[in-house]
Amino acid sequence: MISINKTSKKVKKTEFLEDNLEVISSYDQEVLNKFITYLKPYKRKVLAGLVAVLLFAGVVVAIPVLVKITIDNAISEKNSLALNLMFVVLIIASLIHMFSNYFQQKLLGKIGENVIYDIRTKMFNHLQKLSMSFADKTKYGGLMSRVQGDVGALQELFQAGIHAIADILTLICVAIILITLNWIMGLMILIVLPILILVKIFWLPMARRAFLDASKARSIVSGVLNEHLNGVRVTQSLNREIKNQEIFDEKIADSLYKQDKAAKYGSGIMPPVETLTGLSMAIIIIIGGYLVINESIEIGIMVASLLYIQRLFDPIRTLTMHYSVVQRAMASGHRIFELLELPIEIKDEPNSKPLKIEKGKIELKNVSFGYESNNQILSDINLSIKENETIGLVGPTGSGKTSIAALINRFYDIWDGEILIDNQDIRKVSQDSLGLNISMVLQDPVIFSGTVLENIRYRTNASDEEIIEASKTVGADEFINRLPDTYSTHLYEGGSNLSIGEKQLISFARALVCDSKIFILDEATAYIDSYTELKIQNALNKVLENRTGIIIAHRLSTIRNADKIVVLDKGKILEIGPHDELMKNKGLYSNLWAKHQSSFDDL
Amino acid sequence: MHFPKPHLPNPHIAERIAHAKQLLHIGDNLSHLSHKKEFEVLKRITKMCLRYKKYISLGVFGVFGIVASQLYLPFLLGNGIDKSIEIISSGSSKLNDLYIVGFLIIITSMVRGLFGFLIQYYGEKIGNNITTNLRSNFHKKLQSLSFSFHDKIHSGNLMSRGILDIEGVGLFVRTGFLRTLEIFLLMFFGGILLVSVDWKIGLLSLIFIIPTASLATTTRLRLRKIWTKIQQFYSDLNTKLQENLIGVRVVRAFGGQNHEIKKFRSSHKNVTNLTIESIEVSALGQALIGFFFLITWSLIIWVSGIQVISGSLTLGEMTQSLVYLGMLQRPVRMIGMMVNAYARATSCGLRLFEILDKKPNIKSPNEAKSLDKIHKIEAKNIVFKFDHESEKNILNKISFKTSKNQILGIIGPPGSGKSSLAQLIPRFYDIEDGSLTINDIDIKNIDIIELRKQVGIISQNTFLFNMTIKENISYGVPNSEMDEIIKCAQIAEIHDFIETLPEKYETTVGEFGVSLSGGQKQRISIARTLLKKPSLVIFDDSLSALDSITDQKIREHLKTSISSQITIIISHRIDSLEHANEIIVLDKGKISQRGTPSELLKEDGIYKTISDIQHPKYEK
Repeated sequence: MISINKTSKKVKKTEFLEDNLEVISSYDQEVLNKFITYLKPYKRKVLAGLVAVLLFAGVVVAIPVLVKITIDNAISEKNSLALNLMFVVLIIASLIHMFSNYFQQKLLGKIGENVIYDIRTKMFNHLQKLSMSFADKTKYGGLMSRVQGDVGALQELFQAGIHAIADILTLICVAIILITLNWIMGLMILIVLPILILVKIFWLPMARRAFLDASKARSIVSGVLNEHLNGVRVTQSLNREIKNQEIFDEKIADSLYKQDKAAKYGSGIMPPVETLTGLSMAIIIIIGGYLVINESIEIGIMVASLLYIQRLFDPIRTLTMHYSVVQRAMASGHRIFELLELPIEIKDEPNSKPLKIEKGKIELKNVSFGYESNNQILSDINLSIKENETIGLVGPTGSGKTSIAALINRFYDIWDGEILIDNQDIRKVSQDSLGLNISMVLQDPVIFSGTVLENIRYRTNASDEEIIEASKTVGADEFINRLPDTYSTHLYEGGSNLSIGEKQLISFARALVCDSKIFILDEATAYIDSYTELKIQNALNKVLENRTGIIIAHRLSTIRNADKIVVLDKGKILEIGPHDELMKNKGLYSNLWAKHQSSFDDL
Repeated sequence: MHFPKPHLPNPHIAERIAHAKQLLHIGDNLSHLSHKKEFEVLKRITKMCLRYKKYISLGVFGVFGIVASQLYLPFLLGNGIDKSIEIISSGSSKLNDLYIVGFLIIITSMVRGLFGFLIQYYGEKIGNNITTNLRSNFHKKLQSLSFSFHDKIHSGNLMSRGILDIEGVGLFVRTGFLRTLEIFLLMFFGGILLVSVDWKIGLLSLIFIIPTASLATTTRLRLRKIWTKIQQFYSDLNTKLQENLIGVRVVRAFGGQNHEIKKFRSSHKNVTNLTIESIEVSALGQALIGFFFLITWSLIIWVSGIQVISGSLTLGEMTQSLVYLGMLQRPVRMIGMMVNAYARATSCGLRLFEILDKKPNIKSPNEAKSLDKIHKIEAKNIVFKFDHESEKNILNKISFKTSKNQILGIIGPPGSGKSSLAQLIPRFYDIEDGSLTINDIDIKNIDIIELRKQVGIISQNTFLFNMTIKENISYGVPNSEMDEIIKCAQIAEIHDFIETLPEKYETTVGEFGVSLSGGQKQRISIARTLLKKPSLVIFDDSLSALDSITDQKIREHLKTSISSQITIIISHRIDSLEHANEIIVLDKGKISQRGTPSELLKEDGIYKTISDIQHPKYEK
């Protein structure tokens, strides 16, 4: 009866995320294009931002020109009036510099943050829509790193990008101005730039490798930290602290080595860039000096050129600094869009209407289903549950009972046949209306951080009184009242201050508060002792009086009082009928009772 | 019968309440961060940096070098211009002097590049070393802090501290530490040189320095407050995301998608708005600093222009001072960024040190007693509560005693305190009152590592690591022999299943491997605990999560294969307790019944009720 859980086997091509940093190229036009589409809603702001950037770059470039004019036309000419005038012009330029600088950063920063917000929200929303089969096989750790880490890297790109845009614009303007000041000298200076490209050709590939290695090592460290943190209780009870520390220290030592290597490449570019700066300055001094001596240029042009040289190399320097950020952002962008482009397998039909429930009748007609195409779980299931009827689904592990519950909620789509609720095909109604109309209690209880009240209320608007009432009904009231702040007690991560049984009672109350016409219990009492279960059962009888109920259990006593008991085995219905009838049948069900066995697992 | 003894206040209670309060407020509002604290954080970061003497000295050498070459360069440039003018005025056409100046400029720039390399490389190296060190300490601290700490602080919060906050400190050390020195030195010497060229011009540059310094301070304060809030909201966002992903089935089953989106959005909006605010504040600071700089620049041009016109200053000298100022332009731009990085680093550092300074509230006493095999455990009037301030006891006056080769059974409804009782024995939590002794030694006097070596607890919440099955089973005893591992797997009734897996014991489980059912995980965790050969085994509702046949088989194996040990079985299944020498029935934190299974069956009470339900008889 032991088998590998279903989830391990079902890997479909359509919804699958790869965790591979290697495949991503450094510069991906596609990623960039996709990223740009997110700027569209902010067209006007982007425009305003660009105006500010242009203005800023313009004024930055203009200031040395103004200085040149001051020197050549005012100071050299010994014209005090012109000097005073130029002073005023410079003050105005400073003001423009200030405002454009502020607005370019503010506007572009704001757009960046909004785009990041949009992307992350879209990712989150997309994750809510992806089918259960995706959730089954994709573990949250990888998703967390995409939604948090990768979006964060993109954010860095944006912040670096603001400076980069201004830098590139400045670079171009400076180059143009240098040539217009004096084309011979200008061209001589710009000859230096191709040499720089040569350096980058040799330097880039090695640096890229080093940057990627470093960022990979860093994410490995995060992964190990996360796992050791989540397993800290096991570690402490098995005295594994020292070994874990060794493992972690080994990983951070590796990360340190790789980061140092990346640092070497990152800073290694500095000496050549600086030397080239010096080279171009020397060109100005020598060529410029020569031209001044021959009186083909004025001294102011030489001064201005010297000032521009600083401006020419500053952006180059910062661009190299931002290079690793861009690298990481490209890889991250790739991973982000990969997630966003995962197809949604289970979609609402166009114009689907919300489910309308009056009676709560459920019909399964010739339903067959499997999680993967070569492994059929359910075959040709016909089952009809009448208004206010309660059925019990029993069967050994792997018989498909939990699948039936999942299918009624449309966690997965069936292969064949149809499922109707009050004569509406569940594929034709909107998905969220299904969740809103069906209450379900799952085997593995989930607790969200927040108070007991918040946990039970969940998505509903139930009043405190209703919540307390529901808790009383399921018998949770007793232990909740023993908590330090009763219903306002803050529950810790995953409900670590509660036992599984208590968590189950809370999720039971949560389902009850939803007050739906259909109520499904999926092995919901597995961790609850029989004594409490008995209390729940009495409550349940009341709750289910005017509801349609499906109780899935492996313990026989749980479903004994159901109107109808469905015995499943290997995806087929073996027996169906009330307890007394099945006992007369002398089938699997009565056999178990005869042997005083309490559950199907004892077969 | 236990007589109620007068409630004596525990001498440590005040201390413990203080500790509990501290725990509760962790991660809460930190915006009241005082200057003193900020300074302390900075001091600690600096101290850590100073540990890397070699890197620091090389880096500082680089700083001085770069400052010197940075300042020498304008002199050369001014010199070049003056030379050109000289040549014109002297009418000669000898360009030799210019060549020398050009050559010197290239050499100086090259040297400047090398010094730049030193600063950046060693700056990053120090940063990398410090973050590595912080990570190691953070990890060590998390491994040693007790359960009550981990209960209260969400792992999402801790992860964001361990990753983002350490990065925040690292970023500052990497780029900021040596650069700050560079900025100060440049400003200082730049100022002196400006004064030496012409004292009036030099003094004018003060116009720039004073408002810049005060602006940097106010911006820093505002940014630090914002950063502290950003970090908190980010932790919150992390938590919400994590819980949404873990609870995906519940979200779907309840149609809670929109509710989840709303929750996520509100957290996310907070983070976004605050980040935008930080950008605005930082942009304003940078724009203003840039403005002050340009105003000063314009003033200097004006004043020195007047001087040149009047003939008291040469054009070359004027150029020199302009270039000196121009050289300051980049550091000035960097001030803004530095202020931001500094503000972030101090608030990150504070959040980090808050965890690093935590003392585990459960640790071995100074003169700890060693512990051999456990042959006796006795509890007298144990009182326990999770929260020291709470008036509600989780366990109230529990007493029991068990010894070698005995089985103690514990049963009771959810919330009766069964699991809490179990977790007191390996001292995951401390008792509030009463006494708990092992081999007649008070548990608080026993070396905690030795205690936990002897106590094997199998919790109902199984957690497996992303490793192979073999590594998972040998988690507590990493270098175990394969036959030992197999033996324990056999006792836990999981060996046969493992053999059916494609890679048997080498199959990876957990997040990146095969998914196992709850029962299979439970059995692996039983094998994992048995491997360390504890002399006291506690099954905390872990047998009852298995089907009854497997449960029975495991108990049979335990009887024959591992002798001389105490077994405590917590279960809600009556059959699991059939061989118990004594069963205590817990209800609402108190013992409501106790006795052997047969004795309890004769009494009317919870035990009999449960038994009747679990052994149904077919009645017409």
